[in-house]
Amino acid sequence: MSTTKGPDTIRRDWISKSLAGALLGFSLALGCSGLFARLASGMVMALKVQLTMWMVMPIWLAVLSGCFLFRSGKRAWLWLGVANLVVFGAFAATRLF
Amino acid sequence: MIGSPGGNTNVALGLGLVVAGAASLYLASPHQRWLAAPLPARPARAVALALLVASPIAFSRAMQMVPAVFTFVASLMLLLVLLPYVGGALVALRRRR
Amino acid sequence: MRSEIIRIYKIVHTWTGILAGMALFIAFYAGAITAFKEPLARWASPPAATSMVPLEDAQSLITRTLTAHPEAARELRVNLRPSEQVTARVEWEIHDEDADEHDRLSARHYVATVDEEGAVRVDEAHPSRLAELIDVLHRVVGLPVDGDLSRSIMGVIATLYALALVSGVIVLLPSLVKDFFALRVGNNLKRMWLDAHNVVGVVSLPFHLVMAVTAAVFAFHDGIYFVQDKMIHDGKRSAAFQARSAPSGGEPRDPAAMLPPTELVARVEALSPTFEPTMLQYVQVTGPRAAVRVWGHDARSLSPRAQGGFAMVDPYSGRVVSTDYLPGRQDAPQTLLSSFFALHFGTYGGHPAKWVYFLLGLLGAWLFYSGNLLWIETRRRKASRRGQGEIPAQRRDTSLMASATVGVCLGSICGISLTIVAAKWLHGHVADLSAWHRYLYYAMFFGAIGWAFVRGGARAAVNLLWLAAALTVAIPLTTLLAWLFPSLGMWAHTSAAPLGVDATALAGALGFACLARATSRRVYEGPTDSVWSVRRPLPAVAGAEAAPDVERATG
Repeated sequence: MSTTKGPDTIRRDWISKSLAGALLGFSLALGCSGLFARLASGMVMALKVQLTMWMVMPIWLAVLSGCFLFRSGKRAWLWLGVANLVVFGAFAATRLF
Repeated sequence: MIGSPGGNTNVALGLGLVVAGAASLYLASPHQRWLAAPLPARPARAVALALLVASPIAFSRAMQMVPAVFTFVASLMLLLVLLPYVGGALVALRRRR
Repeated sequence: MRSEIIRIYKIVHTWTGILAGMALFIAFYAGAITAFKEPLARWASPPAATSMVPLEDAQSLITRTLTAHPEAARELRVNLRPSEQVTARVEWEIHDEDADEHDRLSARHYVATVDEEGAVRVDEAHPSRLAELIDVLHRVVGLPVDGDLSRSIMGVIATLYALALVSGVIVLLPSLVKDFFALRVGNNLKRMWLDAHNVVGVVSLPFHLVMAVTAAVFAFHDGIYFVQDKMIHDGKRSAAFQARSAPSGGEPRDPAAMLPPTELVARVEALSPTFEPTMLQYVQVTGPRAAVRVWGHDARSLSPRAQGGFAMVDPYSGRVVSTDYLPGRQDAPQTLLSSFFALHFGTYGGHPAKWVYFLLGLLGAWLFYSGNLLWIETRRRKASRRGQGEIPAQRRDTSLMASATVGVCLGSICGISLTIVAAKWLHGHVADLSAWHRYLYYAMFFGAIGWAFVRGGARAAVNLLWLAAALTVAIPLTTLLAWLFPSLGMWAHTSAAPLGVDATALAGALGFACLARATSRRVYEGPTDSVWSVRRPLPAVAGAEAAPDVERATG
């Protein structure tokens, strides 16, 4: 997660970590699916639409179940927020071209 | 149900192979409870590997590759759960005598 | 850091398990039975009063039916393979406008036949909804209706289930290889329940991950589609699906100009020799988008939907419009999409896969039950080892959890068996059998929960297991009675699938009886320092019997 050496503990931060995993995880999954839809522009629409829908849940559930690995709730929000920015940035960029 | 001629035979063969493969895998484990001592690990696992590779091949003669692999994996999961349970039941029976 | 991660995920596992475990038990028990939905529907269907119109005469029956009942043109079915449950050649359903699109239980069902004079006769039919009702219990974790709210609850449960799976694996990672295959039966009950729980969870993890993800998708897909349509597809999603239907034309079309069913079937059979058609679904046949879906099975291939797969044919020209959902004729991306469905429903590999799914489903139910047993065993207060005779009072939360687990899990088993038996006993005696199926299930279910809290988990477990055995053995006994005494007005189908239901129920009843005996021994003779004992503690004996323990057994 991080290269900085902190104290050898993980804060529990149940509420903030769960919320980060649930909310930012969902938006991240949506962003990834959007990016996929843009990159797979050659695919038949009906197929692309379905695959785009199917990929949301696995990504979201993976982020949600992994979010307790972050050292603290703050870090969860920070890293998932950055990931969201990157993915949505790329998604917005594909619209420009 | 199985369409092609000889399809049933190949499905039965695939099932037989996965049963034998799963059993030799289980019997080579130190946790096995069927035999007084586990089978020698290396040869038993080699035999298991051969049987477990042959099983989906047998299934694929009765169906396409994707359903053949699915059928193999699903049967393998079931067997690898049931074998230790049979072992546990054997222990319970022996203890009661 | 590593042990701290494991501690955190252990808490996640415990809480997700407590919140979702019992609902998932119902979903898995009912889901395992749903693997054999068709045999169960055949078992529950009364014998047909009339014989099926020959397939050669189906075309004129369709045309004349559509003239007399234009509302049937929306969606009409022509069955190709008669069975106990499929008795009419032509049938359709009219859905309530307000009802949820997934709620098939509230639809009105009509069949068209030909009377002695050769005139078309349309009757409202009341086919057995038993198998569909159990499927609904499965889809929405024991709730009565498959509506938006129920599906959201199911979605949350599936999400918790996914979390429980991942956290359970993380907790087990350090001992995963060392304890693979371990099921240590012995005095250490916590060790035994832990092994029994883990062996199922670890080995069938791929099955459970597939179920968790697909169940979550089935629950939330409407919402995801809606958001993605706005955000990604610029509102073109519905257009994408419609573009693939038949070309649009002008005024209403005359169904008499359609090709006969035999011809439509022949067009599809020519595409795939291993495809076995079962039913033709006529959709909007008088409109510009007229289409017929030729449904069927292909033993060589996976099926994209629970009820099989289909080819879409234009009924007027006979042109095959789409083979996207035709088993065995799908390209790689379509096969991938179909796999998600096939892996959930077990619609591949014929009968063996159905049995494997049935048993994996039952083991899944056991996974959640044993999880609760483990939770209780972990919080057990033990008598001191030296046998001083002081039997500690058990924690209140463990005895409440014992009652809830026994009541909910065994209550759903008893309820399902009872409602299955009722399909034969109540047929012809009540006006709305579907409603009675529900009443009986919920009466039994809530009755069992009440009983478990009144009598305590230990006694109720024995009572309810015997009751489950009795109600389940009543399934084959009812068939036997119906066969011996036809005057009872019940029926005993003798084809393989319905007899398979009877045989499976008999085996299940024997299983419940064995569990009842073992539980009874535990409750009346086992160690007294547990919520699972009702014995008056005899101090000296209790101390000697208390199992040597193991606080560190699970770390």
